[in-house]
Amino acid sequence: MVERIGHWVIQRFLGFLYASGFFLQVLKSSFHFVHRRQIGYKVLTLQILFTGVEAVGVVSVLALALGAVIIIQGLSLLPQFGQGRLIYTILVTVITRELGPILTAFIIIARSGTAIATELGNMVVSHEIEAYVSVGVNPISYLVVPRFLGVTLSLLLLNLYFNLFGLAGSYFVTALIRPIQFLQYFRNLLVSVQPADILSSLVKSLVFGVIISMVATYNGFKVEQSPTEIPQMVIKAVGQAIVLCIIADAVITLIYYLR
Amino acid sequence: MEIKLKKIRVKQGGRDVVDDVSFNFPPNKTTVLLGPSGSGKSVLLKVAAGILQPNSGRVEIDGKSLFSFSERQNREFRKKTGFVFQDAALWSNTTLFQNMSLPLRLHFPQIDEAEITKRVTELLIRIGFREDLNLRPADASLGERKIVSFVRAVISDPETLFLDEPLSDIDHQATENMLDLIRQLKRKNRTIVIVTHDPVLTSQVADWLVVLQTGRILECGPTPEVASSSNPEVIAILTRVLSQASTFDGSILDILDQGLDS
Repeated sequence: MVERIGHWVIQRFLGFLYASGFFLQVLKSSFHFVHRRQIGYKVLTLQILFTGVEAVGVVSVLALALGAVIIIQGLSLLPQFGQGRLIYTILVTVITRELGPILTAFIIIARSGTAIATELGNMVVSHEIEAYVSVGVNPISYLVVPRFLGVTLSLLLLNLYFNLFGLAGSYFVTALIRPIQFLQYFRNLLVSVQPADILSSLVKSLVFGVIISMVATYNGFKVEQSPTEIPQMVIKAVGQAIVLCIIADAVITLIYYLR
Repeated sequence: MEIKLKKIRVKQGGRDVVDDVSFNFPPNKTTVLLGPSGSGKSVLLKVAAGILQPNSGRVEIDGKSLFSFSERQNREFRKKTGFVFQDAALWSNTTLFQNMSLPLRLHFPQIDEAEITKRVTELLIRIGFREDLNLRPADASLGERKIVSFVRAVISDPETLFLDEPLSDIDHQATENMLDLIRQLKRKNRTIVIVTHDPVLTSQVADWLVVLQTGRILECGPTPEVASSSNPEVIAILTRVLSQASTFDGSILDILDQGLDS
């Protein structure tokens, strides 16, 4: 029993060291990426297109619906306590600081995290990664770095879009049900937004982007030989990415309130 | 280029698929790795080519450890080598042409697009490949993919070639043409390492034979010496392995002798 626990701990520790090494290698290669003549630019462009541009529709619907729900609920409940103006603080807190980054991250995990882990896993099984090595293409530089940069950048931009669309677009939805004055709405909103809110939101989306891309590529590369390993690794990637994003979210929120 | 394997051990699925193998590939010669399925030939080939890192042991290229190469050294090494995979291993998200031309684009950026097209086309005409080059690998047959994999390996005229079953799954005419190309590369004193079960290819190009069984070298040396080995296990493997792929009558060892004489 003790031997098995010891073995498990050692394996976990070695896995952690390996993952850390992978992360550092990706970071190092990312710094070199912009300085080199890279065939990876095409991969980066495609990744931004897939992760960022193609997710705009889903993000729009979600942001719009969430913003509208918060406004409608807030306008129904808060005036009963004489706190009608709190709706703007709640909107900023929920959309900008909390749900914006995490919901965008969940969308990216579901769309791009799974796709990246599956694609890389398939490439391992079909020896395409080995073929890249055989011709002198570094798989980290060519396959991981563009996905890392693409996902992180896309998540950052999608989060900004989520915020803008959630805060502004929801006004128009709400206006159909419970008309609010346009200028009054945006003036109050702007007063409620603090630079720290925006910074917290950006930091979160940046960290989530790093987590999702790292976890997806790492698990994709962990596939060894069999195609049956691919769905297992994809499930693992999704689970790990969700848990790590939530933990990171809690830590950043804690830092925000402790500052 | 001098390739040395020192005490190579590779573990896969909990067992040693390559077990304490040391061997120096003779430069400018053709070495054929022989052995029954599962004897570790392909794994050893990938280790020698620096594609697969062994669990222990050392691969030396001209006296330097291959797996300690800097990025620049690695790029230089890859420029001088080509690898044909047993299952072709083409990049599925690019066209056949892009697959074949990547080594040229990567290592010889000064070569223009017209020259790249010319080189690829010339090689394909020699082999007798007439498929649309804009197809994706999934749209080509395994034989066609193998040809593309072969062209990708030789397009930059590398000093050293690693070929894993290069002629399997290919039609007769293309096989003849590719065999001719391999013979030509041999005449140009390229270092060639081949994993094959093909007695004709073995008999026509092998300067050295390495006979493997369960991950260990059973016997290695110049082809005439190994072919005339008195070790019954070696004779059994040569006969069994080579005859698995053969479609002719007669003794395999005689065929090897004939090939060496020709």
